[in-house]
Amino acid sequence: MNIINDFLPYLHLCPFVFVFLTGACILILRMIYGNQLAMVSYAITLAVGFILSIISLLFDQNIEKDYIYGESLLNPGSFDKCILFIMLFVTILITMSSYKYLEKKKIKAPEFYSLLSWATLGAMLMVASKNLLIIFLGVEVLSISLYVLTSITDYDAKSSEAGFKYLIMGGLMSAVLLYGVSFTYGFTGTFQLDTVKHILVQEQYNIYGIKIGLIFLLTGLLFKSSVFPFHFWLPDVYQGAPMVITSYLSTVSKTAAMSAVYKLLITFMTLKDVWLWPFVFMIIFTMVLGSCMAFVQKDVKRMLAYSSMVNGGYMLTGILSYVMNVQNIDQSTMLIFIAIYNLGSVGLYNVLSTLVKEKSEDLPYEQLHHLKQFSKLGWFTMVIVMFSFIGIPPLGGFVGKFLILSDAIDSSLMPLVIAMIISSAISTIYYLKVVGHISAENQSATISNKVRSEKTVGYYFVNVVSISAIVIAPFVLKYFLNITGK
Amino acid sequence: MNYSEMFFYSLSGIAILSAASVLACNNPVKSALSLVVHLFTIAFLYFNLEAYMLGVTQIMVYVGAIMVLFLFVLMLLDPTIKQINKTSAFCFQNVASVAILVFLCIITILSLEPIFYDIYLKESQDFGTPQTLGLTLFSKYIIPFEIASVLLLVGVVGSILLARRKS
Amino acid sequence: MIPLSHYLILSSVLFFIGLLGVLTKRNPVIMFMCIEMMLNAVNLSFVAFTRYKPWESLGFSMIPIEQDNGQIFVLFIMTVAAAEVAVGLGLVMAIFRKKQIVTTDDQTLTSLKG
Repeated sequence: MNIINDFLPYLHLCPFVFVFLTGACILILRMIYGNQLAMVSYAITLAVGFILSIISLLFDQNIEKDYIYGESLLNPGSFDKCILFIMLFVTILITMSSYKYLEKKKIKAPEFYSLLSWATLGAMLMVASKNLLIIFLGVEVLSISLYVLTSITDYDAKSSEAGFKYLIMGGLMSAVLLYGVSFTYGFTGTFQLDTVKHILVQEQYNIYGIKIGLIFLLTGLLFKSSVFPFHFWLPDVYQGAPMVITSYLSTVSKTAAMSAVYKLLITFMTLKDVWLWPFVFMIIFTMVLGSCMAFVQKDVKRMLAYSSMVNGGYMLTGILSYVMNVQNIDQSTMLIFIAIYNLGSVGLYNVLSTLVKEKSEDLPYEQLHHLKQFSKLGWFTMVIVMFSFIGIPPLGGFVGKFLILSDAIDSSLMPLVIAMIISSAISTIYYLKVVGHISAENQSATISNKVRSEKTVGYYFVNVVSISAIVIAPFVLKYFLNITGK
Repeated sequence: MNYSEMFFYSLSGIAILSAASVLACNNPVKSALSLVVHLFTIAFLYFNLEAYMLGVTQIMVYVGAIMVLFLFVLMLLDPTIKQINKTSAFCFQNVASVAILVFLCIITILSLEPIFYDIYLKESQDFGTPQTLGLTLFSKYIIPFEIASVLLLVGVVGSILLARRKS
Repeated sequence: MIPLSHYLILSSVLFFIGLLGVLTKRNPVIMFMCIEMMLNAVNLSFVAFTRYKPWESLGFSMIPIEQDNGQIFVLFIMTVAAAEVAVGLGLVMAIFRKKQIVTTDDQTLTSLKG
């Protein structure tokens, strides 16, 4: 009984432990059974482990031990839990849609899935903790897994090249992030963001050291969330990575980085005269420049890279308007936008992953033709997701954008509102271009459909989930709004 | 000038020179060797700060493991490859100049800020001993410690996956 | 006595030498070395901060009840550096095998243009 009593205080670590064990189990299965198991069984293992993790997330654990000064190291609040839930669910969807794709590309599935689950563990740590040490370790677990996953394909030198660029830039920015952590630590004596905030508020603390720290910290994290001056790695990595990982990068990884930025902004609220205006300009450039760049791309994956950058700008607008006006604005706006963006992207990449060729990761617009003949459901998903990204009224994307706009107006961030409207207008063109290409038909239909992979149960499932999430979202809004208890 | 000060200033001179020579050498193997010198000086700076455990770890981990890995890969690839001092593939000359500007700003700020100058060493009995570090690491920081083990697992699986490849 | 600022200036000089190297060098292995240099500069500033405890001398009333130990962070940074180097050098090997060359010049690492 003593052993059980020793473990009880650590029960709240269950979601994280389950995710870790999932990755380990997949590797052990691989060791025992070798290549006898079908790829789908590894995918199912991952899904089961993640569902266990979601279930354990739903229980309210009371935390007794594991604290450093009364603050737990891993203590997600209700908002963080919602984000964790979204991330785990999205990872399950990505897994469901990926096993046929991995077979087509001859990627080793077990290693792929175990690294994917550990990457998710890193993302979860970034969301769940308010401790700079844990956030840093989470960033590193996530990025190191992603460096490997990006360059996992055997045939393509572009993939390794993308992975290498990502690694060099990621390593550089981790060093920058760490320099920021070191200054923050040096002038507050703690890694705990809550304590840092407390000190800043109590002492009216305003010396150069902590400002330098803040600038470096923000630079490191904004790189991870690919905001304007630090976005140069984004299109290359998106283009070189396997489609499944592109999907993961634009959903889970991005969400985790946004969540970390959000925590940082909340912490350094008292120093807002240092970061506010540069930050606003960065977001404006992210949105406007991102949509202009997306407009001129010739490859769908590169276009989607810039599109995800623009959507990241919208997310940051939402975060900033919440941070500026904590009393009057609800956190659920961010949750709704993030959930709809994530689920839409997963559906989109799910369809696209059936379209890429066996030996290449490029996806020019012409390769989208004849989607309707190949798969009616896939075509419908693409159309719905594109319309939702544009923001056509009854769909989820409209609701998300509308809520963020109204929040930004409430916090009187007018420059951001204007930039957001401009970039939405530009983005309409390139999203419609995609819709045009997937509906186009010409003679070579049979040829291009041959290279496409067959559709699986997972494919249909992900499409249905994605469509229903986007269509139903406006109707369950009331329920959503109650999550954070305001 | 007492012993400790002389030690510090000569060490920092060596550290900066060896760091610069990592960049200046044309032969990658020479760069790696100057990095070894650099890492040793950093370890001695830790000793000067009384962080003995970290200094020893630095020598064992960096000089003993990481640098050997670097040299191993350099030898395995092709040590005769010379770096050509043309433009970098990433075209970051402009970024580099901006970085240097930022660097100058920080140096100025650091040297102007009076607060930094007032701070001197305090008495500390067991600052960097293995006991202190071990006790804190395995009590307060047990969860980060476990996460670090996950990180190493990711590194192992990832590097095996990348380096062992059939073609 | 050596003031804290000398350690900080040393660490920032080393950090920016490393940064310069990453941005201008074209040999991937040297780029990794420069990243290691940057991480070492950060480590040095961490140890200096932990030793000098500047937050105690800044004269504010609320000192954190239980302070963190920056040396622990240095240990973790070393772990991360090791993992990153292992993965990075594996990646360099993979690229080398595909292309047989290891300089990031026009023939090799520029088919993706950012």
